[in-house]
Amino acid sequence: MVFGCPPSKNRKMTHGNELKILLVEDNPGDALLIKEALKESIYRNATLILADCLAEAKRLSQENVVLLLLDLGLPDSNGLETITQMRNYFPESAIVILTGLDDDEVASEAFQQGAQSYIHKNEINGKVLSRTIRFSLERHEFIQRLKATEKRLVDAQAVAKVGSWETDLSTLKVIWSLETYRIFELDPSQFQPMHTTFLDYVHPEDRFFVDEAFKASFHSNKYHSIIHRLVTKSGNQKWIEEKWSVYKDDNDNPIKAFGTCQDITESKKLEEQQAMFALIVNSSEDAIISKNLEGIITSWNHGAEKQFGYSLNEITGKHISIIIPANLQNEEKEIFERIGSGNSVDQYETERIRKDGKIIQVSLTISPIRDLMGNIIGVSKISRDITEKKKLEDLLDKANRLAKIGNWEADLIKGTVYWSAVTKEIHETETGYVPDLSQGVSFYKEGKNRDRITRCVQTCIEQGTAWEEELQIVTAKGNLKWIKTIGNAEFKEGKCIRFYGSFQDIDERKKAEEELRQSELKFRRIFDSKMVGIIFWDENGDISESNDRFLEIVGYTWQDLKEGKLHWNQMTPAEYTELDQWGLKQIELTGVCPPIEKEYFRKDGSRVSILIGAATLDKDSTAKGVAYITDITERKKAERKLRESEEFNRTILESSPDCLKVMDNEGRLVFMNKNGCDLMEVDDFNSLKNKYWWNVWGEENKQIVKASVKKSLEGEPAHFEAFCATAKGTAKWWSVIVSPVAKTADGIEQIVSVSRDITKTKKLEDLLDKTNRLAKIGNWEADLIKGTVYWSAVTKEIHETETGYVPDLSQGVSFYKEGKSRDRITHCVQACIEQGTAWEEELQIVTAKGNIKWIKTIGNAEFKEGKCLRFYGSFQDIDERKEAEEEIFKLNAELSKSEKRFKGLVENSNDIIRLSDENFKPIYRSPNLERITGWSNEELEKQGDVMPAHPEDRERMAAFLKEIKSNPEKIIPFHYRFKHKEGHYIWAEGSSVNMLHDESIKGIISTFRDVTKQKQAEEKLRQSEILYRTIASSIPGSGICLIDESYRYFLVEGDLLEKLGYSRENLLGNTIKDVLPPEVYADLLPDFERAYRGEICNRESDNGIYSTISRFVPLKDEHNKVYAVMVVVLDVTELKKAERTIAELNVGLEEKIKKRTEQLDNVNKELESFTYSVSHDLRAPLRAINGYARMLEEDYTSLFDDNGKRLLNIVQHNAAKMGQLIDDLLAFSRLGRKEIQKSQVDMTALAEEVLKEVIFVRADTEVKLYPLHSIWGDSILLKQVLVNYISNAVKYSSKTEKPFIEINSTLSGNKVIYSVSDNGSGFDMAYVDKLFRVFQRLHSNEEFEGTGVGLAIVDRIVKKHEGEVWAEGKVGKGATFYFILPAKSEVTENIQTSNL
Amino acid sequence: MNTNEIEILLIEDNMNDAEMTMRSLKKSNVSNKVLHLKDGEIALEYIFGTGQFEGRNINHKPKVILLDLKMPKVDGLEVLKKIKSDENTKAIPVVILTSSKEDPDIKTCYSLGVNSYIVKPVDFDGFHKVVAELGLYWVLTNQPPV
Repeated sequence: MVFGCPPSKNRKMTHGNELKILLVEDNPGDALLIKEALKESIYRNATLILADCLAEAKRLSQENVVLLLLDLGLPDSNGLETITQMRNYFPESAIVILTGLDDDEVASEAFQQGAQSYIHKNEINGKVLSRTIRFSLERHEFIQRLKATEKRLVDAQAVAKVGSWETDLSTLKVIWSLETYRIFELDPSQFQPMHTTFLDYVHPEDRFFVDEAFKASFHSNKYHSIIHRLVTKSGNQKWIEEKWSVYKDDNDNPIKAFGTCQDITESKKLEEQQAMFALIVNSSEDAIISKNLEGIITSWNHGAEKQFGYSLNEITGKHISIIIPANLQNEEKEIFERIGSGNSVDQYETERIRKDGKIIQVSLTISPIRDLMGNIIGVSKISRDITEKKKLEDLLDKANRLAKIGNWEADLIKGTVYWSAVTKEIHETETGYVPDLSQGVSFYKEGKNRDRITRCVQTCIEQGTAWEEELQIVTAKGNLKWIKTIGNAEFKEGKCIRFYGSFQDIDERKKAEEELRQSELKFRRIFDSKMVGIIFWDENGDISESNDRFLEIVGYTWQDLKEGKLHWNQMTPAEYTELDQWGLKQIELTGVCPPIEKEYFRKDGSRVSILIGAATLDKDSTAKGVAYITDITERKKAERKLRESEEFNRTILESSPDCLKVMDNEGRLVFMNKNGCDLMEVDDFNSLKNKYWWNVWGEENKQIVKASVKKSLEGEPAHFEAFCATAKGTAKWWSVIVSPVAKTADGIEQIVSVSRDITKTKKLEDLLDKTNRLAKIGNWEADLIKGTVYWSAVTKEIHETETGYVPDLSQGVSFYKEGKSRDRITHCVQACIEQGTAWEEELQIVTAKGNIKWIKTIGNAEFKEGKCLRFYGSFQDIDERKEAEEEIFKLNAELSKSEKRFKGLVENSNDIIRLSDENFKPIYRSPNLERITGWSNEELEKQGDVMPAHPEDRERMAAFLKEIKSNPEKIIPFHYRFKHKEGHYIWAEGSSVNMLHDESIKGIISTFRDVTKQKQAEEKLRQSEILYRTIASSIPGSGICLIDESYRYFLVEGDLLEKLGYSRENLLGNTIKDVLPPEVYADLLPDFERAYRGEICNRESDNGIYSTISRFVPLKDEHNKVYAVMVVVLDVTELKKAERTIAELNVGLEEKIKKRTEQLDNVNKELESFTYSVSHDLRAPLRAINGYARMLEEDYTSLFDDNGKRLLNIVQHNAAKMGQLIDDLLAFSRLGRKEIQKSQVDMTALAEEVLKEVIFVRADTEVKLYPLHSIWGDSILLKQVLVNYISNAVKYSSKTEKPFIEINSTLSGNKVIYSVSDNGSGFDMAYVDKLFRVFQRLHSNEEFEGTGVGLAIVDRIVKKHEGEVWAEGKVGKGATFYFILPAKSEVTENIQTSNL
Repeated sequence: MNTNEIEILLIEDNMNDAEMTMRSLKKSNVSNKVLHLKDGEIALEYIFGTGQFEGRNINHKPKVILLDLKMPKVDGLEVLKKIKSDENTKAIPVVILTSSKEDPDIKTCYSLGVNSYIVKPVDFDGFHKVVAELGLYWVLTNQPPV
């Protein structure tokens, strides 16, 4: 117990047996040695724990080990590292190092690392160990205590955020406390502060002054304090307050400085904030003022200066009343009272006065200012200038006026009533009028209105109930007005102090409402009426409301309507959907749907016809529109009936065989039935409509028609018969009845005519009449009742009376010739009347003209009830017959006379007439036999009277004679050849009749004539027929037909016809109509007809198998009359096929060419756009190269030396050259595409122009231009040729001493050769081929510049002109370039010729 | 620059050409009132006071518009068409700047009513001369229809 140390935990332990020692040793021998030594030591009772490695020692770190005996060389740790580790595991234990070496360095290091002592292993014994352990324990405890003290200091500094430091002024070394480190955010283990390094962390702006202040403090005894900023490593900026003093030695030299540093960033921040708030206050537009409780102004911001016009200096210390107007001085007191009681005043609107005396409207917000103890020490006031706002309010007032809204207020305390100007206007009072409360009420109309407002005011005052009413007032001027009054009350302490409200003139609105109400009422009446169905509908098909009538119409109930069962769209049959759509569309367009007729399904499924009109409602209405529905079933029924009857009538009309017409009351045609049109042959009635009927009838009938129309218009039917042609000219007889119809109050509106076609009847009558007239048969009739007699026209003619003659019964008899005839007829008539005996007599009459005639009279009677009513009969003129009979009688008497006459007749005839006996022996031969045959009767008799027949005909003749003999009275034709007297045969044609049995003739009569010519013609025809037939049959694939005048085939030949499906058998003898299919017939007929008219026509046809060409050839006789048509048909199928193939080939070829051309066009176009865009895109960079080089040259030329300038020049030059190249290439490629436009070109003029205007020719160059031949070509292109040639000549001769150029032309045949020669550098003929190719040059650029395109262009142009180019040259001896062009084109020749 | 003082509107997408044009105009002392726009779209916006030139007083019209044909987005032809089909702008002289006189669009330009066209020569001197004269003519000499 050497140390009398203060009690401690560790200390205690050293005394007890609880002392725990940990031996860390891997060598068991050493461990044993230490154990033994410990047993010998004063710590023999201590507990020794052994660990043989670091890990084991770590495991034991929880043991309360007081001391460690530590071998540094462990299997898992070595050297000083072991100490560091152990210090971590056992922070509060003392450490003694066991070392085998006598190594002071290690020992010293060990102390550094926190060991307390060390022992050499070879020195260990009980004594040494005792001393070392004790010493170590004590030292360890001392250090622990020191550490605790230090820690307390650190904690104190941390809490105060005050760090401490000391600086050795001789070395400027600095020692910092932990808190200082913390403030600087530095790690004590890594940063050793020096005065200089400390300065590194000071804010750069503060560094200088900090250093200065520090240095200055050395010579002062004062206590120093500065505030500066520092910037930590992480960039935090902190405000630091440093305080320090300097200690000096006895000689007054400064030795050390001790100081503190404090982080004052937080308070600095607060300061800044404060400053910021102040700034805000000052910059506020509102005036912010504070004053103390006495009302003295203590602060005054910028806003206040602006608002009130006083500056801060002027006003500070003044009383607030300075800005309060005189009449409001009391206000401030009230405010103070309120503030004094701790309340704020919010947005209190009042007036204040400015320095300049102007009153401004302000809104004040006033709050108390308290000290920290909560005592009120002043008032802050925010004042806002609301003058502008007030203006707005004024504006509002005006708006109110517009809306006729006025305000009023009643102050129950003061008993005053305020009315705004508008309110007064509404009441029509004078502007100065001030009402009291009861007066206000008295404006309301007496009765309901006034009662109501009185009650409202009462409840408002008593219970605070607000009101809003629409009532009527009577204005000061006595007008009745609707107003809306709104009132509300303000209560204070359960008592109403004032009430206020607005007042609005709603008179107009009310009136409008009233009107609306009235119209609604009206509407409602309609709605409720039983006449019209009304529904409210929407586009969805719903019917939201309807009246009873509608329900009645559609058979639904109210219940159905309520349940939403009525849908107009579902009620609408499908066929009306479109109509509905139309209606909706109309509504959309005009708002109204005109009435439409449609149907609805009733509830029971039946249909009801309705008339519906609809309209939209205004937008506010729930339904889209309203519709009015009328049940028109009855009307529809009536209509249907009407239609049915109309239909019935129409059917009758249409089916009537007569022509029925309806005419208006002026006789214009209104209607004609279908059959009528047919009868009248009218295609379209419209062509007749509204024409006057009589105009249809033709001039001759006009009067009678007009008369009948007139008659019927007077109410009487009329009848007439007339003859009139139809529209197409068919002559017809008409029987017409015209009748009036529909007689109305205004007279007859329409008339109807029924015209019956009586043409046939008429024709029959006419026929009868004509027959009668021919037979001279007339009729007559005698009516015994009326006593009238009728004679037909013929009867009258027979009697030769006038047509108007009307006989009576006795007169009729008196025409009979007196005597036998009259007696007889009198008798007949009597017997007929009395007994009904008919008569038929041939008697004589004496006509009115006195002629005696034979007539045949036939009579009969008609009896009724045994009495003769009438008798009638016919009357025939038989005078001629009688005469003939008499003639025959006379003839018989004069027979010989007659025979002579007969003979003369026969003998003068052209025909031969022969009479022969039964053996064909002639009885009579007419004299012209000799004329025709050459034989006289005598000669024939000599020959035995046999007509010398052609041998070929003899047999036939014999048979004929036989036939004649056995067939009496039958006329039998014959034709034979007889031999003429002159030897040739003649054809005789005729007929014979056997009249041997006839007593008067007793012979065979033959008549015949010479038909030789016809026969010969026939023969010719026959032969040509054979010819055709032969031709036709010998041409394969052909057919020939001959067709006679009656379109009958009489010759059919050729194999083609059979191929076409016809056979000769079918065709021959038949007409074309019989054998050709109808469509073919119709098709061919026009050709036949043309052929018969004498034209030749051709036709091509194709039945799908054969293609044929038909030729219709008329065959004409000697009179040029067509007697037959020949049709030649040729099979051209193969030909056609070939033609088609060629045509197809041609089409294909054309298409191919077209396609190729298109492709070519496309390629050309592509090429064009390619070259264009290439040139465009190439130029832009070139321009830039050139331009920028130029800028460089212009702006920086002084910076370049000569070589630099040269190089720049090369850049520019090449860029320009490239540009030229592109231009040339473009021109060249364009030439390939360009069409040349030729005209007569004066080449001399062109060359002159080139020399003068296009090319620069040096003055020393001699140019000889001969007159050149003009040429037919494109002048622009040819000019280019000259430009290129001449400029080449100029260029290549430019280096010659005396440049010479010659331009000439010579005529060579029909071509012109042009040449351009020079005496320049020439060229080697070996390369002549290359001259005219693109980019081919014979000279370097250094020699002569060029792009190598010029001559290629020339070549192209000349070739386009169908010419050629070439050149001749010799190196150094010049060159001649030629081009040759055709002198004249055909076109020019033509032009020139025509000019001549 | 105050867009109301613009006298020459240069519409050109090739920055090199634009620079050269501006330089040439500058040498003629007319460049202070030149506005260079880089494509047809923005040019139309300027001319009709839309887009980024919304609200520009379009009654102030440039004395001349120099218009390149080949441009991205809206090409010169279209710009020309729009200018010449609007009553308000059709009197503004438009000069087409083109790389080649072979430009197939030149014909179209004339049919659309272009006032002139110039071929941008590769040769800078030529280019400078043309542009300078052009600027002088249209800005100083030409009297626009009132």
